[in-house]
Amino acid sequence: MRAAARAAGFTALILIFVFPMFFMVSASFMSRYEVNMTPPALLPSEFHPENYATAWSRMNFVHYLRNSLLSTFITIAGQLVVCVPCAYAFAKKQFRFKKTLYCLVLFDLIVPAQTIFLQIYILESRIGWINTMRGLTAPFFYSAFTIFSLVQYFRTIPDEILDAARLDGCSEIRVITHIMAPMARPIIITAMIFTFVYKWNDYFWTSILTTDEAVRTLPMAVQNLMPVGHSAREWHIIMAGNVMALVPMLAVYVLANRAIKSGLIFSGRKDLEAPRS
Amino acid sequence: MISIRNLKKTYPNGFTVMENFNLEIEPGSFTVLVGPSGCGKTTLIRLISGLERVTEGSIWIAGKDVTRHEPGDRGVAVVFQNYALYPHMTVEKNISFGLRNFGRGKDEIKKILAEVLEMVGLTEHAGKKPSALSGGQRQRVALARAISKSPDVFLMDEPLSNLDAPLRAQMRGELARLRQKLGATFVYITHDQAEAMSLGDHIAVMDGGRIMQYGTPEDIYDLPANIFTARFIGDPGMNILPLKDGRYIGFRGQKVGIGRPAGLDGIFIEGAVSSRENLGDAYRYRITAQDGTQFEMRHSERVEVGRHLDMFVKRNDLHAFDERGIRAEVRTPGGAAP
Repeated sequence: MRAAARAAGFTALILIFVFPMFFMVSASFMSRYEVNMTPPALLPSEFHPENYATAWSRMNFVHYLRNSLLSTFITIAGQLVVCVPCAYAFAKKQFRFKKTLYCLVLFDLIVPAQTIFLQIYILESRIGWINTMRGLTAPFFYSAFTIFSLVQYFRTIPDEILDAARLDGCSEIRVITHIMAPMARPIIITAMIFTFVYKWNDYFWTSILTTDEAVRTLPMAVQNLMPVGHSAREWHIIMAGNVMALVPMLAVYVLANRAIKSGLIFSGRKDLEAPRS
Repeated sequence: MISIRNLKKTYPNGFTVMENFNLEIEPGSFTVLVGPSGCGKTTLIRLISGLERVTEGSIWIAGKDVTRHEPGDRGVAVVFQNYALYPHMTVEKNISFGLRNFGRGKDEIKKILAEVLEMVGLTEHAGKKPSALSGGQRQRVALARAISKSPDVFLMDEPLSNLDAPLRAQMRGELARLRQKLGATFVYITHDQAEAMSLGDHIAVMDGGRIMQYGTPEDIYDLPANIFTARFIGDPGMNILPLKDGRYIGFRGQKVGIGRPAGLDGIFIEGAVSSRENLGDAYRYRITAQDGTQFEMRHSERVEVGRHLDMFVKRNDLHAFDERGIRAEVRTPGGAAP
């Protein structure tokens, strides 16, 4: 009885989460008439794959895909260059104001973007970075979340391993690239996937830091499918655009599935401990 | 081989671990550093290896001033207590990583690898990750990694203390053999006195960042230079009893005899047994002398707790120390016992 209730509860939860996805895909194949019916149809009575062709050409998909890919991968590369050494320093180095600086990073974890966007906007507009790819990516090379997750893990790596690497002739950079980073691989991959999802779906920052379609990304393109002043009737096209915008992310998820899981359930590493005998 | 001159080390928090520290270690010698926790043994090894920066003074290895050299450029290898293997690399990679960093050729690395793996008996484990190895095997990998660099100096910080007793004895034997084969200079930290006595040809007893005595194991045990060394070395440490004139007299628990032999050149002590412990081949007794001072006695004879005993120590087994705790000549005791 309890098991049945639990199963029902889980099923309900899954439905709540999965239904929007299901309806997005289903609606993307409907006709204009069907998608606007009351009550709405759950499944298309006939398939309209041409919705995708319409969305593709109307939203200039390739252009925005290129911008999305560029901004996302530049951000990820930037985070690897900035956050990994930064986390290494916080976890393993002694320097002045370390505690204060780390407190600021932790504080940033709970500060909503809406409270700081204006400052960043003003800064970028003063140095002429609005509507540029660097303006769209550079502020996100630093990520409190990425630094925090890496610091947590780096702290568990025994100092002697780093000492051994230094005795093996490693510079500090090499310690990071050849010892710290490979050991933290699951954590780094997980953090980068979070960054990917965040940046790929980002609507807020893109709408603030850009006005020019030349550098705007897929979420803006989907938005453009809804013409201003037009009563929104073209849901089937918008949904087709949404599905297309999601496909690359799903692909990344499938590819990195194992790494994500091993990163998320990561807790304590046997191979780091020195066993007795 | 290693020459440490006027060394001073102050940590960023202002704590000075050692000052005016001097030590000369001969080529090919095996020096064991012993001392209580916090005495500066590990700091000394970290300073020699370059993992810690010297505040003042200089360190010379093989005739070169290496004070400002990077850890990798000093011709030293370190073996750590927790092995410090790279968990993401195979045994082979663990060893070859350093060699590749130092720009050794591929064929040369292959040759060295085969050699050192053979030497530590891990040839068939070359492709395994450290997590698939036992503690003893991991420590052998760490040894192989150290040997592969053919360093002038091996620095070892309690390399065997994570192993269980039988394995530790076995590895001790292997280390001794290895040392004969390599002929390098060893500096070795241990808490295990048996290890210190059996491996070291020199022992440095340290306390509070200073060397209390540096000498052969025999010297350290038989002729302790001061009260600290006398108490620290040996299991148990030497009994030290204060004399009325402010000096001290010392003797080892093993050297206390029971009875009152006539014509003995030495001291007599009367006291009561306050506790007894069976050690298998002997008993360890805590004795409370008549004046209340306590000392330890090792004796093969079983004596009941609470019994009064007449005891003696021969003159040759006595050690005398002056008011500052420095070794002095034994004077005729003439019943100066407490």
